[in-house]
Formats: sequence, structure tokens, C-alpha cells
Amino acid sequence: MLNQADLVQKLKGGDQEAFRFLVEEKKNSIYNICLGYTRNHEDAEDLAQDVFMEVFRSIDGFKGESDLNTWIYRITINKSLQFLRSIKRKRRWNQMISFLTVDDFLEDSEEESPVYSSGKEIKNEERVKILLKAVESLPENQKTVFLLHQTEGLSYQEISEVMDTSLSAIESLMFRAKQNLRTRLSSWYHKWNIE
Amino acid sequence: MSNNKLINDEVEKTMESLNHVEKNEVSPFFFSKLQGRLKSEASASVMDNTTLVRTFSPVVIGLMLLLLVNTYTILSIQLPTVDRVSEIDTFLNDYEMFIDDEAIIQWLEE
Repeated sequence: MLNQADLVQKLKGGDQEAFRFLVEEKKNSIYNICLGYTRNHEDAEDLAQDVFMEVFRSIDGFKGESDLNTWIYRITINKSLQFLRSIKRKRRWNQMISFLTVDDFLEDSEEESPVYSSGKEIKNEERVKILLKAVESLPENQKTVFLLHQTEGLSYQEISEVMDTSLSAIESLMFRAKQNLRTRLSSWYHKWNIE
Repeated sequence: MSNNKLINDEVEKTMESLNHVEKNEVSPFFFSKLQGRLKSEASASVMDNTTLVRTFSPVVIGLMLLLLVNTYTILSIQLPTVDRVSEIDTFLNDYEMFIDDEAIIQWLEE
């Protein structure tokens, strides 16, 4: 088992085995964070690969002022947010185009409805999908705090280091994220009229 | 149970849902795919450099040729003057005539 200083030194020296070790250690964590943002397995895997490519390219610039994991999480968040912004741009463009074809626009704007209108108990898998859909509507920083805490189990202290923000700011962001999610979910469930 | 109570319960269950899922795992080919992408990126950057050299080398060669031609032209314009001076010098020596260099240059300029 390599300690972090040795690992960083080897990575800077272009050691392929050290890089493989890092990827094997972190790939599932990074992938799960990306999945929280993208809600799509293929995009999440591509994004996780982008993260490791960036790590490989930029390791020489890593000064060791923060923990290696913190640095990798920062890259993950930046890449994920860039991805979401590009998706939003595409959506806006598609919406502009769909104004020209009214039928398509109405079809796209309908919200996904879960499977429980039939009165069946909702499966946890469905709940996760609904939750992640609601997370999508959160502001970027609330989304990041919620996903890092929920998907990776990072402590508020660790999240504050990743986001370079104070601990109290993280607590406040998490509180507001949960509040917004409850409001959003409650309005959906009312709309879908659970019985 | 009221509908509101049901909805609130469901909201709480949904909020907790991520705690009850197993972590997803990447495909077993994740690292080999990553290696492939890194290799293709590296070869693309080499290709870029080669393209750069291919594009710019004719320009560089052209500039060097132009510089060479310029230098040759300048030298060839200056050389006859030097040759003529030494030619006159030899002539004067042969006939034991003594005129200083400045007078020769002045004479040539005239």
C-alpha cells in the first residue's frame, strides 16, 4: 500500500502502475458522484474517465497543499458542473427549436410520472430516481453538498475543504438543499396524487 | 391515514432512499478504456506537432533561402568594388606609382 506522498511522487514521474492503482482505488467513488449529477450511467462513466484524464494531465501542477482526494473531488465537481451546463445549453437550444413544432414542445414539457399511481408500494430504486430528479433542480452549490454527503458519505468538514468554503456555509447549504428537496418532492407527490 | 401524512412519509422515505442503495460500479473495462483514450490523446498531440512542422517547414525553408539570396546579392554588389580597388592597387605597384587608397576610392566614385 502506497502512502499519499509516494503515490503523488510516482504519479508525477509518470509511473503507469501508480496511476492504475489510483484509478482502481477511486474509480467507483468518482463514478458514483458523477452519476448523481448526470443520472445516466454512460455519461457518468465518460465523465469519470475525463476526471482521471485531467488528473493524469495536471498532476505536475498538484502542489500538495490539499489532500490528493480533495483535489480529485474538486476536479470531479468541476467536470460534472461543466457537463450539466453544456446539457442546459443544449436543452435551451432544443426548446427554442421545439417552439417551432408545438406538439413536440408540449410532449417534452410533461413531467415524468412514477409508477405508483396504480397504488403499488414505490420501490427504493424508484425513490432514488425521483430524488435525483429533484436534486437536479437544486442550485449548483446545494447540489454539490448534498451529493458529496449522500453518495460518498463525505463529512461536512471534508466537503468544506473540497469546496473551499467554511463549515458553517456547508451546514447552511445542506439545510437549504434538504428544505428545497422536501418542498419539491412534496409538490410532485401531491401532483401525482398518491393513494 | 390522511393523504398529507402519506405524502410526508413518502417524502421522508425518498430523502433517505440513497442510504439504502448499493454503490454502483464502473464497467470492468474502465481502466483499459481510459488507457485507450490517453493513448489516442497523446498520438493526436504528436500528430498536431507533425502537422505544425509540415505546415511551417516550407515557410522556414523559404525564409532561409530568401535570406541566403539577399546575403549573396549584398556581397556580390560589394565584391567588385573591393576587386577593382585591389586590381588598381596591383596595377599601381607594377608601374611603381604611389597613390593613397582614399584617392583611389575617390577616383572610383567619380
